[in-house]
Amino acid sequence: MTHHKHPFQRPVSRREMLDICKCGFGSVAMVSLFGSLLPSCSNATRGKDDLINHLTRGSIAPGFIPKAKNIIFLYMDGGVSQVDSFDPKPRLEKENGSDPSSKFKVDATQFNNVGKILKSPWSFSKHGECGMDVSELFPHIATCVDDMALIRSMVSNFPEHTNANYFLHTGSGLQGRPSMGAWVNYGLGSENNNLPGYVLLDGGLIPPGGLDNFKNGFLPAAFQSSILHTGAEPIANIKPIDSIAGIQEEKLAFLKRRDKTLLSSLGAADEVESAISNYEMAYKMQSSIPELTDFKEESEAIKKLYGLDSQDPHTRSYGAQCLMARRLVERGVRFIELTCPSVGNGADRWDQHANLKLGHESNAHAVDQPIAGLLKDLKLRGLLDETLVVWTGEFGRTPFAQGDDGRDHNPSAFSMWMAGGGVKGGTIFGTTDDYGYRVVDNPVTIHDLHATMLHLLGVDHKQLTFRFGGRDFRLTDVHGNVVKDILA
Amino acid sequence: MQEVPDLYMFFGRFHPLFVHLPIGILVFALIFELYLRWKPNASLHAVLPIVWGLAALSSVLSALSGYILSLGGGYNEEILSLHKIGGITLSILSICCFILAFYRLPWLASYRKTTQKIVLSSIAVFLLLTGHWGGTLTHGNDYLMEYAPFVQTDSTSKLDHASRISSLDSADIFKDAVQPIVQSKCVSCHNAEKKKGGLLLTSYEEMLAGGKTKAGIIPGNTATSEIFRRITLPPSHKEFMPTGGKKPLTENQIAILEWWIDQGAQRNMMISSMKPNKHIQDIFSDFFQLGRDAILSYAAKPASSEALSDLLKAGFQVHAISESNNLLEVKYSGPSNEKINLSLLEPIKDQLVWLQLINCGVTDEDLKLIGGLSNLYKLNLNRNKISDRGFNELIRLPKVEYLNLYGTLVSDSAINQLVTLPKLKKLYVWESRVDSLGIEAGKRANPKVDIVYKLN
Repeated sequence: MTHHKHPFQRPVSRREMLDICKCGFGSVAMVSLFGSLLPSCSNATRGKDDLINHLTRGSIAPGFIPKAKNIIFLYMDGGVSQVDSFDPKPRLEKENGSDPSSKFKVDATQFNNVGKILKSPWSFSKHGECGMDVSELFPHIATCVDDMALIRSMVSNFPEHTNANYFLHTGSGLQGRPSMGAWVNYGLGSENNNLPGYVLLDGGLIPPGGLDNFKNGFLPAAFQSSILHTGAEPIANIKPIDSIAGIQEEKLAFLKRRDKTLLSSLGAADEVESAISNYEMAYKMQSSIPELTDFKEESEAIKKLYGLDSQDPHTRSYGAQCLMARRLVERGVRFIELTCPSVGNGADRWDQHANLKLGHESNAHAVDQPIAGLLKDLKLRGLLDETLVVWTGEFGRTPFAQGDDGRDHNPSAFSMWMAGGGVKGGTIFGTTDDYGYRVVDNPVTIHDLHATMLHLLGVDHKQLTFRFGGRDFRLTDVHGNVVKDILA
Repeated sequence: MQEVPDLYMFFGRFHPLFVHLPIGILVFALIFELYLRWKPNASLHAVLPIVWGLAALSSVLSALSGYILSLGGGYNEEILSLHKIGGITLSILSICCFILAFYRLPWLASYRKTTQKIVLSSIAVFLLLTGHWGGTLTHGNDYLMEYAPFVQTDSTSKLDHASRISSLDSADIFKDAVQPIVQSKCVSCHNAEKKKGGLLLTSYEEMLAGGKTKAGIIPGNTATSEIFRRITLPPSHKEFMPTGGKKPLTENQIAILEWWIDQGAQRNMMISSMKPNKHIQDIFSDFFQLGRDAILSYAAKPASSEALSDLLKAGFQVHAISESNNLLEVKYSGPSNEKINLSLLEPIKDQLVWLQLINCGVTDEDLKLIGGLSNLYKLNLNRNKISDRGFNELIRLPKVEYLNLYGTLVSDSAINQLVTLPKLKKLYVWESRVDSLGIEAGKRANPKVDIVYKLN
């Protein structure tokens, strides 16, 4: 290209702009937020110099002391029914079988196959010192309620999975925005140089909307999620193929020399630099991942706690993912998301448009014991003080039937809970109407949830911005209020 | 106030720009003259007229633009007239020096040395005074000395009102909340010396009265209260206050002013008697820093970069826990075969508030050093082979709130000691040598400590 010959006249290329954005805006935003190491500048010595600079320079803007350092996001794909889990509604029992439109205004639903008011097939009982109501679906989680803050007044903007998933994960209903895990890593960096800072533990089900739920969007590519699968080989080619020691290192060193030569002839080229650091990260992960996924140092009691000895293969699988999540937290990974296992029985996800009883029971059985195990294990190790565990679906379900034994999507009210770092355990926040159909008090939006999560990490959601396409973007766009009532 | 034509005013506004030229040139000229007296040099002497010529020209330009700027009004008259006299005198003196240097007048030759002494020293004195008066006009009276060491300043200006309020019941809405906010964000421009826009904000009456344009505050009506309108405009708006890149009011501060105005802008009233709702109570709690974590009141000087780079080289992770207070978290996570060098932590003792040494061969000996890290709020030593002998060293930690000793050899007798730590809130001792009897005894000794030791 001709403009390379005129270094003082040429306009800034897209590639250089990206480079500037990566380590320029990124570090500036980060310094003002937390002052930690930016992983995209992952070249080790450079990173350390940056860290020293960040740590020793004067303050730019007030960040604040975080309550939590990591987030484990337990994503309940498909939408758990709030009236069958955490929001008991006796009135459904009384009016079971009556026509919902004679009781309240019924919104259009996805399938518009509106049946009768449907009581919960499960009974509720009070648990813990706080006396939180939990249904029979979650006997294990019910033992942890004193560590959980329950929000019964969640609302979403979208009644359909794909948009609602994008909204929950990226703060926008449209495809292509950065996921919350990418934002967190952009803002705070990773504590571990040998592992990516945003890990998706794939339980078997990739949610509607696909991997765009977990991408970096316009943020630098280093911030997207890395996916670990269940099973023997969590990442392809994680075992070195070369059998003779040293061969792989030599190959990589040669590759790096070639890349560096190319780089020196090109000037700043984000792609080549990224490729070099990718190879380095991949090499490091060949030792860090097997160490991570090897559970031999875990005691039998702990494995049992997570349900690794369960009869149900899905419980075992999700239990292994939960245990992995704890191990990732111990290694300083900032944001870990777990997707649901595929439980079969024609009941994939929590999306029970029909056959509510079987579907919700299979899903609940797969996740209940592992999640309770995770909370208890984190607490025993003192990690729950610095880890925020978030449990939520993308929306809730209708209090009336779809057909006669299912429930349709309901974005107007659903329940979610958080536990751990900075959360006031045993809190119940927000209320729904007598049917659990709409929020009547203290609605909490997805933006509010994001603002609260960032707040607990010591980040002001209004300060975490990235300039793209001519304006500053935030995870919370122009919305979001921290839900202070659930904070300790 | 006189009407000043726009073009004049435009020129006048250049005063802050011009004014630094004569300051620099005059200081340079004075040093130059002193040097020439010390080491006379004919060729350098020839430069003197140029230097004094520039000094005279820039002084006159500054004085002229300053005079025009002063016509715009809004300044403290007394200091303004002093500043004006100083500026004009400096211009005249510089012109004199220029003439002295340029025309080497024969009749002056005999008095030359004395004249020069008098003129030069008066320039030095006037330069200092005029500069100071000018600074007082722009930045306010207490700007210079506000952060000076060993000077007792007005306590409200540094926002330490918060420490005086121990509960909402003892706080007065105006005296303890509104006035400190206004004092910290507005008074540097709206005081007796500067009076920008004709607005004074040093007392209750002045706030209500407002300035040139409108009344400042209309009790019960935020929409027509000019002060409230100005502080809630978008920051890019030209009428936004505070202006000139000064720190805007925080959300909480605005919310407090809004609530105060809505409630009738009372002059004397206890906040609790005004029946604030839960939301407003939370805002005030935040504002008065009630019930907040102890660590939030602690800050340190920045750590030395050598100490930090030594730690990083030795394999420690170092993280700043927030940007504003220079506090650090240090983490070392094993398993590690080498003995880690904990003495590297001593140079950052003041900054080190969170320390995690996990599964990395810490011994009882090492705890002597750790026990001396007196600013630790959070200490995590899980999975190290440390025993009761070492834990006695930790009793010295005055601030520690979180102590994680799971997987160590801690036993019942150490628990009894550890729960006496004055600030301790959480103690983790799972997989150690404690049993339920020891835990019970510990809980009796200090019921405030949450001891986690087994699955429940």
